[in-house]
Amino acid sequence: MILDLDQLEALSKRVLRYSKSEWAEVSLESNHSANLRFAANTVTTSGANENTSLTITAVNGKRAGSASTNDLSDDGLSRAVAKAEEIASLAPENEERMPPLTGQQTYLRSSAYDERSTDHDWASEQRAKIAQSAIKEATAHDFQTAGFLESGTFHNAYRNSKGLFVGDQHTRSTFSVTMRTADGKSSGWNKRASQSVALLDGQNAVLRASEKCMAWKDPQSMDPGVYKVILEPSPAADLLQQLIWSLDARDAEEGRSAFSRPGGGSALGQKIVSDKVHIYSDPSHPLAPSGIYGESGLPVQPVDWIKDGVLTNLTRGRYWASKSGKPPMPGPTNVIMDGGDMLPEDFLTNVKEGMLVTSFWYIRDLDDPLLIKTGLTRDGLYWIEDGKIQYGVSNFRWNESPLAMLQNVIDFSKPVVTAPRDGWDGMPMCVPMLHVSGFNFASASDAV
Amino acid sequence: MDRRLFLKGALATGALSLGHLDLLAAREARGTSPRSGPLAKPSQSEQDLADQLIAHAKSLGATYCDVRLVRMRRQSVSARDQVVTGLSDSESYGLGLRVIKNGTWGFAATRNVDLENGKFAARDAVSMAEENSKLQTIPLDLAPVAAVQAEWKTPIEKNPFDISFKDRAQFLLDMHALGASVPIGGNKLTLYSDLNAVREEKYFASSEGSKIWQEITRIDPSTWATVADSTKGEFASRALFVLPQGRGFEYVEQYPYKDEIKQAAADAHEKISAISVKPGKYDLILHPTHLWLTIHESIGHPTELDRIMGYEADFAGTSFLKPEKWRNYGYGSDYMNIVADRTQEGALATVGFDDDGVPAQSYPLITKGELVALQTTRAQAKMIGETASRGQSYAEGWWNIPFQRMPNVSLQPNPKKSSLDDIVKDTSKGILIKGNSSYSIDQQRYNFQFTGQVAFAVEDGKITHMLRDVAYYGKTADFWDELDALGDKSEYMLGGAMYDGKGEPMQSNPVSHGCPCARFANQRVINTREQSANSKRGMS
Repeated sequence: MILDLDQLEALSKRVLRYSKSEWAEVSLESNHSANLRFAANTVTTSGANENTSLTITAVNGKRAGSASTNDLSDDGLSRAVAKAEEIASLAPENEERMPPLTGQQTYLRSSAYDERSTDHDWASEQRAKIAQSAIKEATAHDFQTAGFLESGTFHNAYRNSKGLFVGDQHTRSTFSVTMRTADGKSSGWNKRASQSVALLDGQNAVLRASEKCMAWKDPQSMDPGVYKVILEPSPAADLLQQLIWSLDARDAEEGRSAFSRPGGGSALGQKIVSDKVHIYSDPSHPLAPSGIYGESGLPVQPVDWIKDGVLTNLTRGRYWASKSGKPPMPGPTNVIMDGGDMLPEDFLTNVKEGMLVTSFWYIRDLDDPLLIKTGLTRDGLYWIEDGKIQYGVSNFRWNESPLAMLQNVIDFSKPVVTAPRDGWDGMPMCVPMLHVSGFNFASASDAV
Repeated sequence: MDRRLFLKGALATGALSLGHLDLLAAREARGTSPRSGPLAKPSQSEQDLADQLIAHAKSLGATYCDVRLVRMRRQSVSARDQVVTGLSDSESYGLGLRVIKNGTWGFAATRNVDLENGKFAARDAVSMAEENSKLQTIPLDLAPVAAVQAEWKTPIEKNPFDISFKDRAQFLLDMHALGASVPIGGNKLTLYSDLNAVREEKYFASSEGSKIWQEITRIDPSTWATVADSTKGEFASRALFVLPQGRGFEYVEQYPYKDEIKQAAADAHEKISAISVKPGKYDLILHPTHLWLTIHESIGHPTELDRIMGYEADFAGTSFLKPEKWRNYGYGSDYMNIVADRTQEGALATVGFDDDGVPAQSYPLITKGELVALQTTRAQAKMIGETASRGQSYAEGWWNIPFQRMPNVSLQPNPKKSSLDDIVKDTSKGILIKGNSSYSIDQQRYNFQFTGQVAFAVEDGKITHMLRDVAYYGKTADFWDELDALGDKSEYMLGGAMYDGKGEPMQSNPVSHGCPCARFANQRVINTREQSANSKRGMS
């Protein structure tokens, strides 16, 4: 059994009773997660686990030490606190160690917790039904299917010995499915993520993956080069995460970021992408609700990161905030990008020509000062002409910057809840399809 | 079981050749082989608990059950610019219980290591196997393995957990002070370091009678330097070539930090104004600090049987190798001798036994360029007609189900004398690449693109100057065909990664790759600065 928020609160008080340091803080989490895997049209390695753990940090002046444990006995807790205090006594002074947050903080409400999804037996039945539908669909078309369903319940809390306490909880389910032809010459993929098992709409995901696989048969080879592309929400989300992870104020202001500027300073306030672009985060977003607190229990507030193409905010840790005389800015817990009015399923009708991308894979840094990334297209790449898929295209490696992607946006669909394939699917995202005027496909890949 | 019986049991599975007997004997001589007999650890009550849970799972209808009681320990020290920013100790203890019922896996894990919660886990695992078996079309068929009672510990000289946090913190501060002493023309230097010690204490007991205790220790140090020239708005980084190892703190003490921290700061500074590479074809001389990752991506992963069979098709991917025609596949040139080895001293994937209870072993994967074996677990061996597992089952922690993970996969050195200097002297138009940086490869392991920490032009047999913005790409089989010069054992080094990701949910696997320097003829090099659509259209 995992602990609910009341039990985590009681545990946070219990552990701090052992503390003898000037002040201390404790982060706690109690999670249950269960999954079902299938591949080659059969179930493979499934499992379930539960854990409750905490990390206590003891602070004396500028010296701090941390210890984590999942032993919640009195002995286990006192040993963890003693360990943290022993480490703190051995630690050199850390000028960047910030004092605890004090006073009442105001937190947003998030709807990221879906009560029904916490019913393990019901969630397990739903996972099995979805897997069964994938295997049935694959068998009907002589495909091979592989996929993964996971649903989890996550309770987390933070307390410091100066009186601040915050608790948060969320549920998260993901479903990813791949369909491959028996000869391995075509594949299709789809992925869903939601706070609710019921909202996964797994059956629809299965059909989309199957359709993609059918439509990609006998892909044609095209030359590498710069193409117009239509990025489905998942690959767009992958590149947006790459952008979001790079928004650190200290790196930018100390010259180590694509958002640094010659002569010092950062690109804050400067137009960096198309003025159509608005990217923000908001834990209380109704479609992509997310975590409500960050470092040291700081509230996560709604924040515009890019508005009208202008860089409006950078994430800022508490130390760097104090040094730069600006308010701290926790990193986003979700990412929302505004779009247009057309539904993604209708979006292609407006496209005269371009390459439709289903998903991105193996994204890595290539050139940090220019924020250029590398990766590959995977499981469905198509040539679009006059609003329709004309034929499948063999995969490419791409070398491209999310900044260039957003500079070259021509149009976008209505944003929808999506999940990155390569990135972190624990981060709720609501992103449109993007029509981009130029995207660099650098070399051909034979992979299917 | 004594050593003679242990070996007999292993041979009965057909997994070990006589050559491996020699290896085991050598391991024993060094004190690195498993020790058989009654177990001093874990406590008798923990051993009894595992027995009771196995019996309970069987009473629920499980035809196979294993229990792992695992304590994961980790200590970390982090520093940035001569400030120690974090010191932490973490410990996680729990129980993972795996069953087979109706030919289907079930797995449940809990931090509550007691009979009551263990029985809940057993019930959950059995009921999961039962439910999922309704979708099962390929029932599990485990390859046999002899039951053993044995223990194994990573051979280390200095337990990193015995080194005080104070000393570890001071070590990083001293190193940073050295780095900060390097003149970099008024630019801003930022140094980052992590020094992690990791230990798995693992008890494995199976319904087939195995009882195995292992203490696996690893050290994971990393440091990198970034130099920012705010006038130009440019910056460059250079990581030290120090890499994680299956060793104790002695590795950190013996590593030439004092020289390399200064070299890294100087290299990062030089990189900013280095000559930008002209795209084209070059002979690439890949230093072992770089080549290990190319081996990992282009040989380690494609030869995993679960990928070849489509079991990872939804995430990690499949392989260009096909189930029906992998044997004798021509992988590359005659220089290519690759060994899969969980017994190599100092390597990250080295263990006494895998998480199926199969003894660690060493065997050739590729001989003179020809593929001769794959990586398997007990559940996979029979899929390719083999009678015994190759011993490649591993779970990241107590909370994960074990599955097929990569052993140490290493390129054997040239038996003939051949140094890096010899190879450079023999190269007229080449690039020498050291250290690993960007790495990306497609889901079937055809198309890869890699970069290093630092690159140098090689012209008419000499290293002439540093280059920046260098990346190379290629196709796996074509690339290995072009291996035309190989360093000897004096050039051999062990690289590796602590967190090789695979599976759903993703699990990390520590794995090493040894190799000497090697040359690959006529490879395609691009300039990373010219890669965005906007760069190509002259827009930035």
